[in-house]
Amino acid sequence: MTTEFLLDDGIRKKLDSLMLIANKVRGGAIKGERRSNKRGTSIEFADYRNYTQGDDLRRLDWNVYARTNRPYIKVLEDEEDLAVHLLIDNSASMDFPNPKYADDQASPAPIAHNLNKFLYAKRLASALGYIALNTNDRMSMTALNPIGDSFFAPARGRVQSVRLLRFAQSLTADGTTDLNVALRTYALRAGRAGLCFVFTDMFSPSGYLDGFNVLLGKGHEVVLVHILSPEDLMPPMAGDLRLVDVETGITEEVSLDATLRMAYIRRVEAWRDEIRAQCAKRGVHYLFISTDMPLERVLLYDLRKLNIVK
Amino acid sequence: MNFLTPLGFLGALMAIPIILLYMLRLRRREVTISSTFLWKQVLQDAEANTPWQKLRRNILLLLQLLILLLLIFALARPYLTVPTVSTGQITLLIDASASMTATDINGISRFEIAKRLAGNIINTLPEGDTMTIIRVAQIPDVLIATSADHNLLRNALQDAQPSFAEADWDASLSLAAVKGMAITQTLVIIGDGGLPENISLEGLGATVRYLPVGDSSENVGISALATRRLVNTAPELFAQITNYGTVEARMVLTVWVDDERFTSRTVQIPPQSNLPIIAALPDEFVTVYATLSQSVNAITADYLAVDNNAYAVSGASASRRVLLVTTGNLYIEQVLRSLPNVETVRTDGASGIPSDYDVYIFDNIVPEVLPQGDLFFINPSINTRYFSVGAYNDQTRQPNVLLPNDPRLRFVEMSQFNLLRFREITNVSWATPLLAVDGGAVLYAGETDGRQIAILPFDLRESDLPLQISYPILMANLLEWFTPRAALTLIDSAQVGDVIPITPPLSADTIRITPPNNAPQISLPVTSGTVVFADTASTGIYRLELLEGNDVIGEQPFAVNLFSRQESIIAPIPLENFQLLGTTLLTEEQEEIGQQEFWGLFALLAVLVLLIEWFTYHQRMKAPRIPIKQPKKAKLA
Repeated sequence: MTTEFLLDDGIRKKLDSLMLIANKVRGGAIKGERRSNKRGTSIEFADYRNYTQGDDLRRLDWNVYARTNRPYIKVLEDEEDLAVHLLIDNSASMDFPNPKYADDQASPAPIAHNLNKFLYAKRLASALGYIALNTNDRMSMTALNPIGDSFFAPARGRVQSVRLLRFAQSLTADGTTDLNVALRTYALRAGRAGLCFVFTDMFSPSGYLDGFNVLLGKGHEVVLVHILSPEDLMPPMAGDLRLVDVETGITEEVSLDATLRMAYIRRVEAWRDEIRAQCAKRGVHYLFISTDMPLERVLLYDLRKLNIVK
Repeated sequence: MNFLTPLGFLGALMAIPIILLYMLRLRRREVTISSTFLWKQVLQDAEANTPWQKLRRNILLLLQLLILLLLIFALARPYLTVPTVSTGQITLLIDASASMTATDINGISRFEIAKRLAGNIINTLPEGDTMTIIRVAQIPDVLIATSADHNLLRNALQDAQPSFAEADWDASLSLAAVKGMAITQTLVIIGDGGLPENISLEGLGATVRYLPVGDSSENVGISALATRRLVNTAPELFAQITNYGTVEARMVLTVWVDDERFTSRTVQIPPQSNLPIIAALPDEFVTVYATLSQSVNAITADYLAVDNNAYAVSGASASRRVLLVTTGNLYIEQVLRSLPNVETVRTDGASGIPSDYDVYIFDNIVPEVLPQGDLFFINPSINTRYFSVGAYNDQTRQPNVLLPNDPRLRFVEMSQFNLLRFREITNVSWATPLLAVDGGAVLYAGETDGRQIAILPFDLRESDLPLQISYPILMANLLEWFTPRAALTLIDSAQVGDVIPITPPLSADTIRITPPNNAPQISLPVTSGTVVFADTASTGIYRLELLEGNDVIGEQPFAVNLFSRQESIIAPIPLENFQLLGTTLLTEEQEEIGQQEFWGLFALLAVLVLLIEWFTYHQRMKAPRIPIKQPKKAKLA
């Protein structure tokens, strides 16, 4: 299996110059490449303070002492790393659109493989993981539905990027994911608070707010990446149908005509607005993505606009 | 509303299989989707907001049942009772004479109005009643005989066209009697009443209903057009314009000679009068076409167009002109008089020989100066530059025909020929001896110096030739050789619908006629001495060509005109003046009850609903096409 499939060279070159930003999370464990709000030992000047007994005399500013005859200690900025958590919803609903579920009678357009939500999520998560590793941040990737090898342990350094991409490539989507349970479990298990990306289609009947609350409570800065396919937004079906939920098997009988389709489209918009409002209320970054949007645009424009990437 | 076939309502039983099929058909297709989470909410909202949602689901079934209902009604043939002109067993005579092309009713021709009236009778024809429709033209035409099928009747009527000729009412009524009168109760005549007087249907006992069409008599037409060519004068055109209307007409007469505009003049014609016009024509021409149009400031109407055009051809080729120079010879004069299309002028030659003749016959006379033209010498007494005359020869036994197959000797039998004496002719190497006795040739014929010359070197009164059966044949053959007859013997133009006999020369094997108005050419094979051409339905110049193989050996145009006073007088005869002897004329309008069917309306509605059903079905089944964007490389890096 090659890693080229998720991120090609062209994208990786563009990612090399990017960096993830956490506005709320601080407290790096080790030296990193980003400025900390703690005072430390870097070469960047931060402030002066009066000398107190026990201070390291090497940090006394002798020039100031010579001019004022009073001892001042130079306070320098510290540099730290960032913990980046990439959580991918790998429930069966994410594996859409998929030729194996194709409805030939209803969908005149061929299903494009690159519109698959799970694939898109893996590519985007891999790109963000690549950025994090590139900037020496502490990065981990987790599939929320534990099927097989679902956890990429925290890693740091560019050398881990190939392993990361291979891991992402190997992830599969199946089963159901209760977003509340999965997020809560992860929040309790994860060590350091950091920048936490959640890639999901939000088709979680039991809701998502509890899970997000727990993450926020643990000090994470949460970014919800809401991924839907064009088929979710505008269903390419018509006629008398029995719709089967791929996760739950629940069926709904519909006589789908133009009116009902419009009602569905309006419902989807309302649902997205509702999620956006809930996120705004909690200080969660919300990014909506339709899988027909180019990945580079999301990375280089949409995430920059949210001030997640610079 | 009543129904002609109430059994059609049994078709309602078809609703059962439709409903069953609908129920069986509604097996929902299973489609796997990401989540039904949102659909559930949508369906709850939809059913809460639109209680008739379930009805909408079954809209196709309802539309199909509506289509069935409409079709059942159409099958049951609903009708309303309406007043009509006539019912029962009807024979309808629709006038298709030229006067029916008059456009005096809102610019629509009388024939179209007549067709509409006939259509109304068909539409209200009760079930079981039959109709025969006869188009009354010069040759009556049974459009449809004894039919109760409204569609067939309408189709037959729809294709009918007016003619440009007089109508033969006598023949049409006879035809009506033959075709339908045995069962006919009512004879319906739709027309402008141009029936000849004293037509009787005595003994038929049919009742007649007359529906007059037309409301004006204003018409101006060309009632005559002819050309005349006299000796030593320019050809002349004679035209006569007649105002058949009630007010003075101001018209413009335009004459075209050989398709070029020749003259145009404005004429004023008092009502009910003729205006003769004589005009000089060019020396050489073939065809003349005159047209009458309303002048710019005309205030009167001219409703009939067909008599505004007239055609003529040059009459030069109609007959052969023969000059007989004799002091008196009854044998020759009589035989020339008996030949058709030979115009003979007799002279004694004392005051000179007139010119412009086709053939000159010199009987016992030879002029000093020979005229231009073909020459026929009978018993010449002196030499000419074409031959020398010798002494009398009385060896006249054993008469024989030298060239029996020569056209000039066709059907000539001379075995019983007796002759007293003949003059010996010499220096005639250009001529062929045709008849001979043991003393020498007694008939020479040949062509020299650009003319045809024949010599009969004896006096007819010194032989029994004029008493022979072969004599007129021989003379006819010789004249035919001198100047072949015209194929057509029309003195003036033909009338529309006339049958024209054509007598082609023997060598012609095909006659080709080009009708006017770019109609397709007609080829008639020559199988006998006279060929009949009857397709003269249009006015105009017809061009006749005589073909021998593929070679054109002669051509002659001829003109066909209306020139019918009966048709040009377009004043319709009102109901009170209409007479048809031997019949009972019904005068009350619309006194019978007919049936107006309107199943077509239901059928049309069924088709409309079917279209709506089709549209609804496709709208429901139509899935939106999701545009698949190919990811582009962002330029935002």
